[in-house]
Amino acid sequence: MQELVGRLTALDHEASEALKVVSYFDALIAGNVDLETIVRGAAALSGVPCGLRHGDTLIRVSPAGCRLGGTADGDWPAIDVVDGDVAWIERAGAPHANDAMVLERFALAVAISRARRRIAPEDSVHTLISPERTPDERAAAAARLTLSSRVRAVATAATAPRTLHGPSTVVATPHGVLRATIVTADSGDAPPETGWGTWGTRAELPESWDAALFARRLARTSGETVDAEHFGVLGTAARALDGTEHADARALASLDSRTLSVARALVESESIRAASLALGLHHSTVQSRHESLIAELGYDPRHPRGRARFMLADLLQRLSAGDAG
Amino acid sequence: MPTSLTRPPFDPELEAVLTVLADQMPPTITPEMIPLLREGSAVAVDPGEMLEEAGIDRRDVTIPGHNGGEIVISVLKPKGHSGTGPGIYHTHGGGMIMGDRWVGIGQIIPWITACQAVAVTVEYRLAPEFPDPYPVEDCFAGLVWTAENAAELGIDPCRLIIAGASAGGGLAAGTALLARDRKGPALAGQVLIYPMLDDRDATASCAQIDGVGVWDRTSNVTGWSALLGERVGTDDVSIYAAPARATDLSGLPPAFIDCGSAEVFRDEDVAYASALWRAGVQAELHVWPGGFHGFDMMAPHTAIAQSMTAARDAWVTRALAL
Repeated sequence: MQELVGRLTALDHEASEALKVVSYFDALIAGNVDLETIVRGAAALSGVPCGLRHGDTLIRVSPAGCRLGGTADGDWPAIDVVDGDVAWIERAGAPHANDAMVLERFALAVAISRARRRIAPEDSVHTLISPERTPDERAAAAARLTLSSRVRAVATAATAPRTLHGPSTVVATPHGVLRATIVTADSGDAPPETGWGTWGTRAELPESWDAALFARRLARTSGETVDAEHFGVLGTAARALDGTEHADARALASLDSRTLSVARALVESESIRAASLALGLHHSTVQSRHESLIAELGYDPRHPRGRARFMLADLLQRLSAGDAG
Repeated sequence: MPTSLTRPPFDPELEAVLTVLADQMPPTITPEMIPLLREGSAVAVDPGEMLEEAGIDRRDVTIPGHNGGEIVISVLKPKGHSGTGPGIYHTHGGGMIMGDRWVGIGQIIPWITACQAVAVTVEYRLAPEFPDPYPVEDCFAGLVWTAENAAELGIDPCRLIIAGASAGGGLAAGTALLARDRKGPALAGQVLIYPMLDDRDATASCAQIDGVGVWDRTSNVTGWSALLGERVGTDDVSIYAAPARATDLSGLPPAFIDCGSAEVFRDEDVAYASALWRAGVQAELHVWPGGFHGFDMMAPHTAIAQSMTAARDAWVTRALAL
């Protein structure tokens, strides 16, 4: 139905459409497409020819998706990808609002595509974290990687520096393209927004990866690293309820960020006094905030059962906030 | 958390396009959305620039439609066209409920220029205001006008084909059936681009494309219900409205049919090709893997859209050269 949508043409050159650029290239990466398709995506999104030089090979594509010849000499905006590969956008004149983002994701997609093709066809890490693979396949993959018996999976941004020690791969997930690393000890510096999975046996790595994705989504909302181990059964419950709507989570999502941080301090502190100290507020102020929170939520978040209720609801609203962001 | 698909996956490059189009394209169209969608379409399709760029002259003519009403058709000729040559009669898409005669014109412009053909595109009246048989009878009236004026238009009546996409594909098939049963006009070919043929909502592809992709099951029910009203899915539907219901396809012109494997119309389109072969009619069928409905129009830069267009254009070039 052409009349419903027009068609995919170059992005609006004045408006920032970063989200579209990211989701377009994420989908290409998830689809494991070839390099020419990636170049074609960059050209279609930018509305000008784009190119990729890889050794002696040159791939140039027009915005209409046609392969172009020529050498494309010119002082174009370009990025050095890896191993001498160069990606560029043939924009003459002033750059458009999305050019930098298109070029960045174009180069990232090329880097990931090239990295995948360097990996052995049988990607052992991917096999180990995939629940649909058979136990035999996973045992063979674990043997190839000579993993010890106690392991966990870690989720980091695909673009983050590889500072963790352990075999890794890049995988497409419903929450974006991420790097999965299998670690046997807490060694190496975790980059920001790392999600640590739960410890377990090699056979439990799919569960650990699921937990790592959960932690990664929480980490996206706080900007810190998050360890799924700290949540225990709360983490399992939050993952089971993920995607469902609950009034308790909605109630927290509707609070302003200041009120939410007061509520969290109240839940996490030993006493109202300790919460006041942590927040840098007067005791009586926090006391009255506490009372109005009880009225607003319909339960006392400092009561033992209220604490559990609050914590689970808070996890759920953070998960959906992480997706929205 | 990998989700298992109960339908063929979308082609990865098309999937990327879908993610970008998601915010402007609802997969599901319900009856109350019709007025709004029509409003959008009025501004979306302006043929002037495309025709100018391709070097095509346009002449609008008002002709009698079905049951006394008037309809408009446009005659499209390459600049400087002389003598008689091949002709293309075009029925546009839009689910029977929207669009105008310029929807999908980009698919046939290359045929006009490459084959020095004259095209006629018809603005049939839309459901639900003009339910069946208005759309298909308007299309037939335009075809009769084209054949009767062939000499003046510069069309060789032996080289006239009919072409349409989506609802326009269904109308092209229905018009071809009418032309067969009313003993004319003669058609040299029918280009049925992902045609909308079956009102019965009973195929596996209808069930698979529900809430995803483009023109999903609910949208299709919306379109057919607008066209047929309470007759939808009953025995009271003619083969001209829903050509999938025809049991005898003998005597029809050679057909070209294409569609995607991830669209509602897949199974009815494949079945129509099979029925044509069964009746001894020549047909070429392409099912493009992972294609959603109309992907060649929405994502023309993709590899699979270029393949689809190339295969279709090659068939038309052969048909018009005969």
